[in-house]
Amino acid sequence: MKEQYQRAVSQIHVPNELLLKTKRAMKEEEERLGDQNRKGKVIPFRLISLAAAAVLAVVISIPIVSGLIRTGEEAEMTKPGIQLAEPVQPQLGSIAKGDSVQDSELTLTKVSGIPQEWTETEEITVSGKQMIIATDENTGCFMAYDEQGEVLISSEITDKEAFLKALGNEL
Amino acid sequence: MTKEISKITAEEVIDRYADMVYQLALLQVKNRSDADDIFQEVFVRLVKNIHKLQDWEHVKAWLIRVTTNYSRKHFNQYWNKNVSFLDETEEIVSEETGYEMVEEGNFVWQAVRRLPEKYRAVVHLFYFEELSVAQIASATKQKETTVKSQLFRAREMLKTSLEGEIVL
Repeated sequence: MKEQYQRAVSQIHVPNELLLKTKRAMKEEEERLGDQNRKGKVIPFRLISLAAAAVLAVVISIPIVSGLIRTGEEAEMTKPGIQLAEPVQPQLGSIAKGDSVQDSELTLTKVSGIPQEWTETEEITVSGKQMIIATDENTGCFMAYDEQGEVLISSEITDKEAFLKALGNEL
Repeated sequence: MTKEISKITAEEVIDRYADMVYQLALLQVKNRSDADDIFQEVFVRLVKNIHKLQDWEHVKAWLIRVTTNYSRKHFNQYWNKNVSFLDETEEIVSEETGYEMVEEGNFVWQAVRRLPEKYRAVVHLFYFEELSVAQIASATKQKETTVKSQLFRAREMLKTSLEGEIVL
């Protein structure tokens, strides 16, 4: 039976037309795969540009996010009932720049320009120098300035005596 | 036989195994156009997978497995299950492949084709391709014991079918 079966089957061959058609289809498939591979090589470049865009976005967003966080922290700190470590300074605006003047106990800050929202209380002479004393109604802090507009502010001192002493030391 | 596949093209494979795939496909489906479709599908798929195949033995096993799988898929389709073109097919096969079946051979071929679908490939691979039970099991992803029992049952069926026609 084996030989008879082999004899019968060995006479079956692929029709030539089918063979050629299949070879053509294989060629087309090869070309299609080749095209796909070539396109595939472009993908890493695309990925690189995407990665670069992502990195750029992260780099840009970090300062923004950290700014937002800081803003959030500030908002949190100004909520009612939350105590600040230091009394809030009055609106100093652009004049809030200057160097600190240390005395043995207290600190005065030297600034230029006179804050608007402070209330003048009196004129005094300290160490032979004519000074105007003013106070912040909100915080009770003191400020002194002379005729030239040189201003000394304490962000801590609410006691007039202590302020005058610090002022005397400074002048 | 163990030439590196990287040096072999898909065209070399089709030149070498075209008849094997076609015979296997034709044996398992009911008409020539299905066999043609399977033949094409197998070799187009080979183009995609050739880089995975290690050597000629691997190529042959792969072709057998994919051909039997595609044939099974075709067979399982409703239309192919329920409509038979067997008689028509035989005429077409005879004309277009230039194959005039030897009457004696034709009996055996017809008898094998009448076997249940799962036995046909096993019989063909064992008697025509002369693969061992282990090789058939490996190519068709079946257990060796399954292949042995399929061969045994197929032989019994063929004996009954060919009784009086030929000497077994």
